[in-house]
Amino acid sequence: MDLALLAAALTFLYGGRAPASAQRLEVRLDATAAHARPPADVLGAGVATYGLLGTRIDLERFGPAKGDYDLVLSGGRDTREGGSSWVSAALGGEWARWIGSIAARARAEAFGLWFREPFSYRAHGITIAPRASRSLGGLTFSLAGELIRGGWQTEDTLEVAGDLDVTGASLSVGRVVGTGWLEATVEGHEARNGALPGSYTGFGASYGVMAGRFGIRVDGRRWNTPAGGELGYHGTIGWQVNDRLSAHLTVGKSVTDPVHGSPGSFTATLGASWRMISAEVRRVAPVVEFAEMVDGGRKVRFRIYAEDAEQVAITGDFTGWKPRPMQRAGDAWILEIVLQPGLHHFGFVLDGERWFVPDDAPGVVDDGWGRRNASLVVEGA
Amino acid sequence: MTRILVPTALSLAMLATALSPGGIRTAAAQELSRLERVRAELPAEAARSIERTLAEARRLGLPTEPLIDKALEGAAKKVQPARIVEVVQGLAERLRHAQSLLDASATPSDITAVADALQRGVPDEAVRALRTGAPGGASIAASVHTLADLLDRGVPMGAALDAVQEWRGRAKNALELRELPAAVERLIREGVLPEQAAAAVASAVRDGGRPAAAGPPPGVGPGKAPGPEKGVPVAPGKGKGKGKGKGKG
Repeated sequence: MDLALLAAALTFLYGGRAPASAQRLEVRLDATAAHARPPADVLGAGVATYGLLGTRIDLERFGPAKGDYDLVLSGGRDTREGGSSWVSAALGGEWARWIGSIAARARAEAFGLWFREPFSYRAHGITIAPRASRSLGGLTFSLAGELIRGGWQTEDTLEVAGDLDVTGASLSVGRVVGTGWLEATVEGHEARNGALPGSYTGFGASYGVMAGRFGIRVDGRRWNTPAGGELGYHGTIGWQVNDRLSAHLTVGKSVTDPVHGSPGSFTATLGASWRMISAEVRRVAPVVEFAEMVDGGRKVRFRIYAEDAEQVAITGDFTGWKPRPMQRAGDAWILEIVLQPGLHHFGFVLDGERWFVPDDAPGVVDDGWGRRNASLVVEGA
Repeated sequence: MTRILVPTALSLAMLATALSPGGIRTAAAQELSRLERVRAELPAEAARSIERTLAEARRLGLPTEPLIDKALEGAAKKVQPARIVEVVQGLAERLRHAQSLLDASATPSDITAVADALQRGVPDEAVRALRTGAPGGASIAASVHTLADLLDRGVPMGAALDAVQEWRGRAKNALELRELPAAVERLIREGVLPEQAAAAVASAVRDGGRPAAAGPPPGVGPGKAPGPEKGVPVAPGKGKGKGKGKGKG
C-alpha cells in the first residue's frame, strides 16, 4: 500500500511533464566536525567528538515541473577509542509543481543506516514527505506530512529487530520580517522505533536573515517525547565563501529524534560543503533570448523543443497572427525576429494545427478564449 | 442631389500612402492594412462592431493597435466572431482602465502593458506605485510586466513590488530586471517559499549584486523548516526508553 501511495504521489505531481529546461549534475563533498554532549541520563553515550564525511550526487531537472534526484553517502566516526562509527546512504527524489496558487512538493527517499560500533544497529526505510504551501494576506502557510516505513535491527547482547514506522504532520506559517524570514511551526509524529517509540509533539519558531554572503538563523523548539519534555535551540552562521564552497557553524541543543530515538544533545558543529563537479548534462535554452538592438528594434531569439513535431511555426502580434515557420536546429526549433519596443503576445503552432505555449514561456496569460499566450516586453532604446 | 464625400481619417491615410514617395507605409497605413484583414476575415456584423470599438478607443485617446491585433488573433485561432467582439470590447475596457491609472503623458506602450498586467492580476495600487516611482516619467512597461511575472510565481504582491522597486531604486538595466523572475524561480525550485525567494532577490539587488546571485547559504536560509536532527543512535535499552522488537535469539 505504501508503494501504491508513492506511485500515486509521483503520478499526481509529475503528471503533465514538459521538456526539461536544463539538467545539471552536481557532486558535493561535505565535511563536518561535531562535538556532542548528550544528556546525562543516556547511558553509555558520554561526550563525543566525531567527524562526518559525505558526498552528495544531485541530478536536477529545471523545468516547469522540477525534479531533483540525489544520492547521499556519508560516514562518521567518534574520535574516542572504542567510540561509535557509522555509514549511511540515501537515494531520493523531489518534485515540485504549481497546482493553481498552491506550491506543491513531494520528496521520496530510500535510506539505510549502519551503525557499526560499539554495537550493531541497522535501519532502513522509505520516506515520503509531501508539502503544500500557499500565500494568503502576507503570510505563507505550509502543510507538510512525513511517512516513514521500514525496519531496524540491532545486535548488542541479543539480536533484536522491529518495525521503523513514523507518521507525522506539521503546519507552518511564515512571513518576511525586516529582511529575514520568521516562521512558526507546530508538528506531531507517531513513531515506532527501537529506542523510544510513542508520540512526539512540539512547537517552535525560527528566524533567518541574509546579509551578502552570510546568513544567520536562530530557532527554538519545545518538544514533547514519550520520555518527557525537552527544549531545543540552535544558532547557525552560514558563509557562502564562493560559488563552490560554503561553510557553517552551528551551536545548540537538539531534541530526541523520533526516527531512531536518538537523544538530543548539546552540539557544536563546524561544516563545509565543496561543490566538486557541476556539469550541465543537458542544457535547454529558454524560450526567449534577447539579443542586440538593431534598427527598428531588438533581435529576439525564440526557441522551443517539440521533438515529435514535423513543422513548427511562431505566431503573434509581430507576425500579424500569421504563422511564421521556424527552423529545426538539433532537437530545437528556432527563429530570430526583430521586435519593436513594447508588449508582444505570441504562441507556437505545431504541425499546422496544434496551439502550443511551453510551460516555461515568459509572461503566460489567458488569451480570452480558453487558451494561453506567452508575452514579452521589449524595452525602448 | 450631389453627394459630398467627407474624407475619413482612414481614407486620408490611404491617400497619404498612395501619394508618399517610395510607397513608405505610415503607421496609419499599417493600421488600415490590418483593419482590412479584419474586415476580410470576419463577418460584416462582427467587423462593424469592432470598428465601432476602435472609433470609441480613438476618441478616448487609447491605442488601437492592440485591439486590431486581438481581432486578428481571434480570427487566426478560428474563434466564433461574437466571442472575438466580446474579448476586443473587454480589452478596450482594460485599456481605458489602464489609462486612468497613468498620467496624460503615458505612451501607448505603457497603456498596453498595464492593461495586460491588470488582466494577469496586478492590482491598481501596484500600478500607481510603479507610476509614482518612475524616474523622470520613464516607461513602466517592463516593470509592470516583471511584476506580473513574479505574481505568476506565487510571490505575494508586497514582496513582488519590493523586488521591482529595489531594482528601480538602484537604476539597474533592463537585463537585470528580466533576471528577477528567473532568480526567484530558481530559489523556489530549491525549496524556498515564493515570498522568501522574492525577499532574497530584493536583498541581493539592494546589496548591489545581480538578482541571479541571490540565495541563502546552505542550511541557513529561510525555507528550511525546523525538524529533529537525526543524531547518533544509541543502543536500545540504553536510551531514555526501552526498545521493543521481535527477538530472533
